[in-house]
Amino acid sequence: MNIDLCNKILQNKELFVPSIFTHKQIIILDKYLNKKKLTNTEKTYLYSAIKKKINALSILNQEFYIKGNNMISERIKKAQQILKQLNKKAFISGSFLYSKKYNDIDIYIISKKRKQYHKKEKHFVFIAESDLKIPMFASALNHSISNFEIPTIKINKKRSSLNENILAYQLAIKNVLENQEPESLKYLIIEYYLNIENKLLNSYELSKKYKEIINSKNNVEQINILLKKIILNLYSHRYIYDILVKFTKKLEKNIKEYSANQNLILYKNLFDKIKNECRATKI
Amino acid sequence: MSAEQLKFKLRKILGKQIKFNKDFEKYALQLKNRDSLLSWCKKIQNKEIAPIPSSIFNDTIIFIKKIGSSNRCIVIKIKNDKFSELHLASHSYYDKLRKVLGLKK
Repeated sequence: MNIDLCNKILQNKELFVPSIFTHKQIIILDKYLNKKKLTNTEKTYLYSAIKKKINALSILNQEFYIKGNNMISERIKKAQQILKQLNKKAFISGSFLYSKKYNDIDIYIISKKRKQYHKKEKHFVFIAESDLKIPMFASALNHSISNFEIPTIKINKKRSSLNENILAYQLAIKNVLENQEPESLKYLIIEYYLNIENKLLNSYELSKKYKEIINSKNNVEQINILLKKIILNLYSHRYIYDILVKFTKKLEKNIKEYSANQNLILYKNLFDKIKNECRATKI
Repeated sequence: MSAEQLKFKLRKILGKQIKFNKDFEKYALQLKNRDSLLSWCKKIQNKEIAPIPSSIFNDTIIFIKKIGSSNRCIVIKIKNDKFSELHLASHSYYDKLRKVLGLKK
């Protein structure tokens, strides 16, 4: 049920009783919102008569909020229709809004439980309200159509670990070498802009940067530069040096061991360069 | 080939110690080409597939293969020179991978 709407009804109950809700139904709604225990009869009322009325009213109440530019107007209409049918606090973001070709429609639903699943072309992502502070979700929300007013969000700018950045880099390089979509590159781009440029890219800007990099002739070099800038700016040079001395030795061992080692050679070359730079500047 | 038969064949290639993720059977049933998974695992055994060191802190390495759409994947983890885990997963593969590796809660 649309909780915001339920609260509005309770705040203005004199307008709804007796024309739309009975006095008893308002009492049940009040108990439900205040998480008081309901009797079986009250539950039956709530999930039959009351819920149906609330759902019907929420269609009339529907308002949409658009954040971001470069959206295709037909897609805006379609997104609004989807949100209307959902009848839950939600927003739609991603390539569906701005790209002629799209893989799926990313529908984010604010929920108590986190889960995600695909249903035909729809990709449902259930997130908690607090998840909106996570850069990836905030980026999506900043280029979206929602059925709730988009609040000003203070991003959770927690520094990610060196391990996580290096893994995202390694995956991106491997995907590029195998002509696959380097999904983890988006993570690195967000990290770079947030920490170095002090800017949170919205999902449209992110997609643009992502395409610029993967479609360029020297895409591997560009990903290398991205990672190098991130780690040299985020961590102490002594720490990076100490870690990379051990890690490059491990890579050397793996290069000898595996015949398919093109990715490992690229990792090692970059980490050797970063290590040498850190050796010169470590304090 | 049932999910159990697939597990049996995978154990034969990767060793009896290999552990499968909770949803393995569910996703195994959806796999159209199980033979390609088996031949990929054989290539891993023969060190013909490019690995990824999964951590800067230990010797664990992983092998990743996307299946069909980019939303499904297989992750095989090697710990102490032995194949330790095989994950067959769906949805956001990078998120799943981070969970497998303990980078995301």
